[in-house]
Order: sequence, then C-alpha cells, then structure tokens
Amino acid sequence: MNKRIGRLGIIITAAFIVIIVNLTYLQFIAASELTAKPENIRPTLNKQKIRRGDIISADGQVLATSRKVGDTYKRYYPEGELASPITGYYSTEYGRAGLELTFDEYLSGQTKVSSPEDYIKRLLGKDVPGDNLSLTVNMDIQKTADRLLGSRKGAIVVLNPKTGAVLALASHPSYNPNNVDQNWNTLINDPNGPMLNRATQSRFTPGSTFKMVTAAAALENASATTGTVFDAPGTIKIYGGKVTNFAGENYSRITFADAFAKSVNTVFAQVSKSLGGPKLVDAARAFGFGEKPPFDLPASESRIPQASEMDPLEVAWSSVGQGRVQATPLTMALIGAAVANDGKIMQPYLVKKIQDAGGNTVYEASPKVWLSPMKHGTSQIVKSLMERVVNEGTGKAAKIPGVQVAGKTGTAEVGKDNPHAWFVGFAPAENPQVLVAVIIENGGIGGRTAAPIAREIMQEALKKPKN
Amino acid sequence: MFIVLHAANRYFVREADPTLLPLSAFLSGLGLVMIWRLKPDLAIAQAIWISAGTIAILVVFSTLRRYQWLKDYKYTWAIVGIILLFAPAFIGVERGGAKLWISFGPVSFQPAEIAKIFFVFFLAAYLGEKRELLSISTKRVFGFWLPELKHLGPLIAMWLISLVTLILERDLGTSLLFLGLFLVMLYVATGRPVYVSLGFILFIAGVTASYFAFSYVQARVDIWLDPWIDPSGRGYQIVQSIFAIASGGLTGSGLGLGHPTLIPAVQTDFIFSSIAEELGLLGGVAVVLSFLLFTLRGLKIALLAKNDFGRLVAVGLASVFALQSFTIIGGTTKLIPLTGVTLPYMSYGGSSILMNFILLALLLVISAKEATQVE
Repeated sequence: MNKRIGRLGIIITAAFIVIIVNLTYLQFIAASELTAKPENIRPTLNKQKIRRGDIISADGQVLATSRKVGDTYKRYYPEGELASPITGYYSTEYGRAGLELTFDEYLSGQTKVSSPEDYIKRLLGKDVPGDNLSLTVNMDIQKTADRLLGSRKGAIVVLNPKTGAVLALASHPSYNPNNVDQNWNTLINDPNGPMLNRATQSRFTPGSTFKMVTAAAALENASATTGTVFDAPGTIKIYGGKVTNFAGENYSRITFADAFAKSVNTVFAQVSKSLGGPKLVDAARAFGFGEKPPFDLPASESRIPQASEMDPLEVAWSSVGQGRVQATPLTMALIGAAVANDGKIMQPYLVKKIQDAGGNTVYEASPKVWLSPMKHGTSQIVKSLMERVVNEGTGKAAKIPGVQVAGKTGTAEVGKDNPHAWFVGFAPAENPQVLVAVIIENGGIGGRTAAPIAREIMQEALKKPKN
Repeated sequence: MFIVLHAANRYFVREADPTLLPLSAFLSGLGLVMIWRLKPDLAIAQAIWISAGTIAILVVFSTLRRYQWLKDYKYTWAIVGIILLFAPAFIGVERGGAKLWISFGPVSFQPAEIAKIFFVFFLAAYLGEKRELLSISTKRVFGFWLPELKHLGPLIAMWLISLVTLILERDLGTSLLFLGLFLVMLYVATGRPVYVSLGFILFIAGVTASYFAFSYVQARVDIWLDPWIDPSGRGYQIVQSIFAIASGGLTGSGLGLGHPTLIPAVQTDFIFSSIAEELGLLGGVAVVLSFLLFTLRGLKIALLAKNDFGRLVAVGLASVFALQSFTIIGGTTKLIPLTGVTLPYMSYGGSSILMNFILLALLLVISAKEATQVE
C-alpha cells in the first residue's frame, strides 16, 4: 500500500508541475498576445490611473494637461482646436494622435523607471506622473496662423530654418480634442477630414513652389544660369503634348531669373528638357521626396514618380510641380529651409525638452542636419531668385517694409476646381529667422491668397525674441 | 488565532506533523488578505469563518483523538454523506446555475463540502475491511482478473452517486471530485489498476453521455476548448481570468494595483487568478507549491500511519485536497474545463473553510496518534 501512496504522490506532483508550467506559459509566453486582445480592457484601465504629463508651449501656455476626476485622470486641452494639430488627442476608447501618440511613453511615464524612489512609489501605488513636454511652438504665432486660415481648408508650417524648430503648425479644419470621445463618429465621417493633419500628412500638388527644386537642380547641373535667356511663349509643344503658362501668358524672351520671378512654365519646361528626368527626380529625392521626414509628429512622405515612369512631357510638367508630384506642406517648408540655411535641411522638431515630474531633464533636442540637397553657392543663387519673386515677381504681397523677404508662390492646378494657393518664404533673407509654408486648398492664386498670410505670420514671428 | 491553534496543537496532539499548520495559516492568511482587497465587506465574514474553523479544530482535537471508533459507524457516515450531498437538490437554493446551497436564515452553506469528509470515513473503513477481499480476483474476463460481482457494488454505487450529483445538482466539479476520490482510494487500498481503469472508463462514458445530454456541460467544454467564441458572454469569466493571469508577469502588479475584480466571482472560485495577477508568477507558484506540499505531507502522514483505517483516511483527505486544488487552479488557468469548486483555505466561503479546517485537524490527529504510538 505504501508503494502505491508513493506513486500517488508522484502523480499529484506531476499534475501540479503541469499547472506551474501552464502558469508560466500564460504569464510569459502568451502574456503580450493576451494583453493585446481587444476584449482586454486592463491596458485602458491602467492608463486612466496614470497622470499623464503636460504639454507646454515655448511661451509657457499649457496645451494639454490631466485633471483628476474621481479615481481616474481625464485629459484636458485648454487651447482646444487651436493646438490639436500639434497635441493630437488622447482617448481611452479611440486611441491617440499627434504628440499624445508619438510621445506616449514619456507622457505616460512608462519609458523606464528613472530612479529607485520612482520604482518604490510605483510599487506602493503612489501617483507617479508622466513626463512634461516643452515645445518649440509659440502660441502667438500659432494663433496668427490659425486666425489667417480662418474657415478655409489648408495648412501652415512655421519654422526656424537654422535649427529646424517648428514655431507653429496649423491645419484647418481642426477638431476639439476635448470632445473626441463624444464626437468620434461625426469627426471620422466628416468629408473635410478634421482629424487629418494636413500640414504633415496630406499630400498636395505643389505647383510652382516646386520650382525651387528644379532651379537648384538646373543651376547645379549647369542646365541654366540666372542670366540664360529663353524663349517664353504662352505654350510650347513637348513630346506630342504641351506645357502652358498660367493664363497662357506670353513673355517673349526672358532670363532664367525673371522666369523664376514670374513663374514661367514654358521656360522651366525647356530647362527640364536639358536637365532630364533622372536628374530632376534625383534632386527631388535629395530635398526629401520619397522619404518620411524624421519628425515628432507622424509625417507622410512626399512623392515624385520614378524617372523611368515619366515621358518627357510629364518630366516637363513635374519640373513645375504638376502631374504626379505630390508634396506635404512640411516638405515644401523644408525645401524652403534648405535655401534659407545655406543648402542644408535641419531636422524639424517640436519637442524642445522633456522633464520628469521632479524637474529633471530627460531629453533635450539638439539641432542637427537632416539633408544637404545643394551646395552653399547654389542656395545663395536660389535665395536671390526668391528675393526677386517678392521684390518684383508673383510674390509682391509678401513684402515687409524694412525687411527683405524671399519666397516662391505656387498656384497648383487641380483639375476643374480652383487651384491650390501656395507660398513658401522666409525672412530676413540675409539672416533667415523664420520660414513659412502656406497652402490654402482651392484658394486660387498663390501670390494673392497665400503670400499675404505668410507676410503676416513672418511679421508676427520677427517681433518675437529669437528661438 | 493560529498561535492559539499552535498552543492547542502542542497540548492535544503533540508530535503532530509540524508543516501542515503553518501552511494552512499561510494560505488562509493570504486568502483573507486577497478577499479584503477584493470585497472588503466579505473579509469580516471570512475572518469569522476562520475563527469558526479554529473552534472546529479544537472540537476535533478534543473529541477525535482516538479516531478509531469512527470506522465502526461506516454505514452511518455513508448515509450522512449521501443525505448531505443530495439535500440541496430538494431543499436547496440555486446559485450560479448549480443547486449547492442550503439556507438557514442568514447562514447558507454547501453541504457537499462536509459530505466529502464523511465519504472519506466510509471509504476508508469499508476499503480497510474489504481490501483483502477486493484484491483477490476470482474471475477472468477479457484477460483481466475481476473480483466477484458483489464486491463491485460500491464501485458502481459511487459511480452512480457522482452521476446523480451531476444530474440533480448540475455540479460537474463535485461530481468529478467524488469519483476521483473513490478511484484513488480504491487504487491505494487494493492495488488493482483494473478498478481504476474500469472506474475511469465508466466516468468517461458518463461524462461523454452528459456532454450530449446536458447543454450546460456542453457549454463548459466548448468554452474551455475555445473561450473566444463568446468572450463577452459565456466565455467572459474564463477570458477575464486568463487576462488577469497574463497581466501578472513575474512579480505581479502588486496588491491592490491590478484589476482582478473584473472577474465575476473572483473571491470564491477565481481567487487564484487574482493572486496570479497581483502577486505574479512568484506568488502563484508559491501558492501552488504550498498546496502540493500540504498534499505531500498528507500522504506522508498516510505512510507513517500504523493502521489501515488511519492510512486510508489520510490518503483520502490528502486526495480530496489535491483534487480540489488541482481542479480549480487548472480550471481558472484553462488547463482543464472550468468547474466551480473552491480553492481550499483561500476562497471565500464558510463551508469550504470549515471543511478544510476539519480536514487539517484530522490529518494532525492521525499524524500525532501514529507518532505517539511509535514512541
């Protein structure tokens, strides 16, 4: 009988070992999969217990904070729609967007345990708040941009071309991040796409603002100099098709510099012919096309077809930013920044500093070069071309008394609808402090609609101390 | 309270097994803490039940020190056991789909818990007496030696009891437990695997039949095989239990920091899931090992027992304990289909606590008795 009791003991031990093995499987191997199941509301419940960090603008305004409601925290955005293209939203039901998404780990304080005290506090269930984000954004400039967009659809990117620090980022229509949960269905079904960040994620036909790229490529490859004289008829024939100027205007004979200032498509069509598709596409890629910019917010890549996929007619249209060329406002701002910053594109950033709840700095942004698409000399020539645009060309509406502004207009044809109005410009030209890219969807002529907006924003920004 | 018990232990049953009391103190203490954390209102009641359990132990110590007389009344125990087991089917209240409770005013209890102990008495006495007889096979059928048919009587009776439990009270867990207990004791007493196999086959047959006959058994098994077919309905409890366990990791979320209250009935059947969530793998394994250790100590007491009755009672009690712990921990971790039984010492519930304290007292008495006899 004792032998059998012994056997019984072995069987029972084996059975309990199976339980332990299974427990290990559940708590380690299958754990992450189980946690990710949509039926599992634990991750959500845990998040509500965390006091997320604040998001604060460069001028000290609170853009996002957490308020205690009963046992849990609720996210509150004092600036509402004004800052939502930057902050994004935080919803326990529908997820996150904007900085709330990209800096979730910091805001929720889940990155790491920064100190043993933190760890003990967490063990004790004490409130360990997330980290605070300090931004480069200036709310006065943001408000100006927001006001100027008004009820129109469009986007504005304002940055310091020397550092890449983003001073304002507006996208209209916007949404109120405080009410995302209640209005979710209305927001996602709205054909105007209020939840879409047009500044970083929408691709538009860039129109003539793309001539900054074509001009740089032409100068670097000696396809033209500023003084090269071209025939500039209203229409020219290329590869069985035709390229026309805006409103079909005929400029007879004109220098390359004047063609840039007056945005003459027929001249650029000829330049593109001698430049060739591959070099044009290479230049666009050097300026950041085909690549997602490394940014603090989710950003889409801008697109240009492969040279092998384009016939000479499409190459000609591409050189003036039409056809299948598609760019985000952020990309166009960065192209302008290359001109302003001696041929180098600084990596754009929004988050200047991250501090934990105790005030210790966890992260600090340091300006760094992202791309070097052209030589210093080339950038100086393109800059002089852009000064002419504002002084005597299509961008006169961007002139600021006493300050030299450089810029490029764009009037992007989009089928039967009104064209998109673009302006990319910076000031002061000799020592650029601020760069603005504006797009008004179906806003008409760039020089008339977008350039005045850019001017007001540059004026506002130049009043501010250097950032 | 356990200090009082320890003193009593020293006084009444000197030389008793030294590990059982601390283990049960650990488990019921941890259980009480968890209940306090899960349903604070119930913690006082649980504490009162633990006190009652303590008194029960003292009663057992003082009345059953010479437990041998128990075997003379074996049929009485069988009848008491059967009455207790089936009483709820006729005068009981239904809770959670199973009829297991009898109410006396504010106090309600599960007689099946107590019935287990009486069945152990009966089986130990019966098998202790008849084991020689049952061990002698007289007929050869299909290559197996079988005893006379009349000796198979209790086997069939036990099988019937467990099936009737299943039908009348819709309680798969208890049914399984009784049959398991019977088979284990039969095997240990006679050393005839054929009984075990036969009983097992009969049980499988019964379960298979009930799978097709009773929709609730079918639902249990289906949910076990794939809880995701209805994660917010029938599978909700097991799915939430699995989520809780998965969120525990190595060290758990910490007491009070998890969300075990998402699991329905967490303070009774699912208390183990809350431990795995809040105390992690370390806490879970500690608890599982405590149960294993308790069982093995129980079996060791059986090994040291000098008479068949004591030995079989100890085996029976240890087996009930092991089977019950395994069934519910296995159920909450989706290792086996979920059946509603309580986790000894830890789950909230008066009858369960009382029954397990009596079980503890009996094991201690047996171990002390045998140790003193050795001297």
